[in-house]
Amino acid sequence: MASRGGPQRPNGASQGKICQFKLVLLGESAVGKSSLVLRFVKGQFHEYQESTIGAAFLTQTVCLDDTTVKFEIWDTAGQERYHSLAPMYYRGAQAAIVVYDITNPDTFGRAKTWVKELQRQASPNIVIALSGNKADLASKRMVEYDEAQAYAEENSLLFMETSAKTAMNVNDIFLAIAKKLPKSEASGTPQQRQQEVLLFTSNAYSQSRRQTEVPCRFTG
Amino acid sequence: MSADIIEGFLCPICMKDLGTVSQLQGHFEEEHSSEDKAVFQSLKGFFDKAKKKILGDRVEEVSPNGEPRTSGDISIVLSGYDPSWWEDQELGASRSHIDTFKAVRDARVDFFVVETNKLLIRLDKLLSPDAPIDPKKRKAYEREIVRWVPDSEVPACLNCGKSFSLFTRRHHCRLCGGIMCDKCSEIMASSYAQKLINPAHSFAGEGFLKRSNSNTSLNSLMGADGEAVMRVCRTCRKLLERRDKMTELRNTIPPIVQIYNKMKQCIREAEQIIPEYMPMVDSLSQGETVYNYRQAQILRTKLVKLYEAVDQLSKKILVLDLRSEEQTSNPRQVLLQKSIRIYASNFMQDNMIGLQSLPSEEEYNKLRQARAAEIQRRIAAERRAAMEAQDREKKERAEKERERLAKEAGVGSGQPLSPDEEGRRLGHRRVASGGDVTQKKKFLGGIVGSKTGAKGHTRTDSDGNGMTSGGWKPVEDPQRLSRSSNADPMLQQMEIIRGYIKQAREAHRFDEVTMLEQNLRDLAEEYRRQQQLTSS
Repeated sequence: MASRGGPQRPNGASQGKICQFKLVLLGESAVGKSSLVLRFVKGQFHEYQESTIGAAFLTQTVCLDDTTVKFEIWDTAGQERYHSLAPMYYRGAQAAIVVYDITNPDTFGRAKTWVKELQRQASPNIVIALSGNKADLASKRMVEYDEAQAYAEENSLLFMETSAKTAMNVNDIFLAIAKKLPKSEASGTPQQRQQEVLLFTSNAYSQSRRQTEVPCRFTG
Repeated sequence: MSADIIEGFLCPICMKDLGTVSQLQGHFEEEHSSEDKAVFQSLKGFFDKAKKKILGDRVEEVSPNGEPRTSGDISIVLSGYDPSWWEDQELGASRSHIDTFKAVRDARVDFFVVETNKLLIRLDKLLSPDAPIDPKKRKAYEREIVRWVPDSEVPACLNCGKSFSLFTRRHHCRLCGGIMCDKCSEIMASSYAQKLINPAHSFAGEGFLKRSNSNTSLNSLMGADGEAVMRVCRTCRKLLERRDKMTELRNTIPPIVQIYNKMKQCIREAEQIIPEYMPMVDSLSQGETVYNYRQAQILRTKLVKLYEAVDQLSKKILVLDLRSEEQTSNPRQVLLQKSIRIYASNFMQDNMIGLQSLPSEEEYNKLRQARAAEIQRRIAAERRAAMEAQDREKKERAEKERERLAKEAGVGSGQPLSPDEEGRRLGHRRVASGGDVTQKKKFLGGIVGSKTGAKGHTRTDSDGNGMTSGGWKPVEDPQRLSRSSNADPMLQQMEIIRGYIKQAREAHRFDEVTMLEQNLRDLAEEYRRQQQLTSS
């Protein structure tokens, strides 16, 4: 499953490279976005996860062959009230996970809207993954796997059914994203810059000049 | 060798030998002045124009008034420097005279070079081993090399004007053939002459002998200490000495350059070490064990030594000229020395003052222990959490199993399922046939992963990839959230991020602090933008 779409290994990557990527989680409220990241970052699962306010921030580092990928994760609130914050976060993001609940068809519809919005507004190079969460509740399934799989194929998204509760496919979906992200040295800045230009010209948002992490260097 | 050399009043363009200076001048003006004439003409035209313009303007200024000039007017005109005339004047045609200057200078330099070379050639001949030693033959040989001015042509010394007599004898310069009196002549040591024609010849001491008053011997071929000497005129001496000085300057590196090079070398070395040293200090002062403490110490000592060297050398440069008193301190050189010192002290300020000091060995050991303890504590906490989670999951599973068994018992089939089937039920449903086992492994791996991950090790999946223990999550502050729940989502979010930044700082998560601060800036900017939009 993880190898769907052909994971791109970095070619001739130098040893011990560190890449940093901004990843944003989007989706209807109560589909399990926060649980998904909590499982990924802390390996924990809370039965009664409080609903997120605004956007929560987490980081996690994964090792991928010879590169270290640091995820800067922004877990946005699903409630409509916080919808206005989402563009702030997906605009500079290199990756997005759109989450829906397999037991609720409405959330799948909302996920499709998010995908559309990302395709229209986010960076053209953004890696989008679709996650059908709560796969442990397969008995109450309302969204068929094949349907979602077909939709993902159409829109060239990464797709996995996940369960934050059982940890099924949670790490795998993040790893699949990490593999698909460009690991070239230039992955940080130029892409963002290009994106900045695009956004400056295409819509009225004043794009943030996000600095990618540069190791403390001495200029002397 | 001698066949190639022509001497005399040669025209520099056509190489024709004219007998005298005046003939040469006449020849040059007639034959070769055509190029210069054009320049002269244009120059003359330019001055004429300027003259007309100034005079014409003055005429125009007066005549429109129609009034006769008062005495005041006259005084102004007479003075000719009334500032009011100059104020409005724009800069007219300008002309660079650098070419002219260069031409004049080049000609002069050429003249000296040619003259000096002539002298050197003659010197070479005079010093050649073939030269006869017998005084009479030698005189004839010397006369062959350069035409000696006949005694009858010079009634008095050309330098001091003393008329020659029985007591004031005529002396010939062996290099140019000119005549002067004994006092006005110079005695050159032949070893100095050797050095002049052959720079490799080692020489030390005075090039020209100090003359003793009594030494008026005509046959002054031998110096006081038995060294061969040669009588030359002052002009020739000057030319030769100038050349000697030039060669010296060309071949020796001045001390300021030597010291400066040393200083630059130190700076280069320091610049190589700094990027190596900085991450070491950062890491060590956090108690990490990635780098070797001793190695960092060695690097630090090296750096300090280099900085000291830079400081010393630049100081040395600054006072360089003050010590050698014979050289008059040139303001440009002083400026250069000061600039070098400023450069060096700027370098020190930028680097040395910012040079983080290493924790002492004791401190480092404490830091390391504290960090190790912290890690141990965290691992223990996470392990406990993982165990609890696992226990809970086990309980839930057991409960489900009980329910299922109860159900199945109700249906009538009391046969328990194989573990394989159980795994498939809990795992993903749609797995290609044959993927059952891997799917189950992955599912179980998730649980195992959370356990091993809690130990702080890297979990590796089959691809050799995995999670590190570097995950970080700030704790939510419910009070803060409830307090601002009615505010603008943007402001609320800014409040949240501020809380996160504080936590990240406390956890020494500086990467995260950077990310969050960036986000806070973005939010603030966006908020301002929105406010502007709504207000307008």
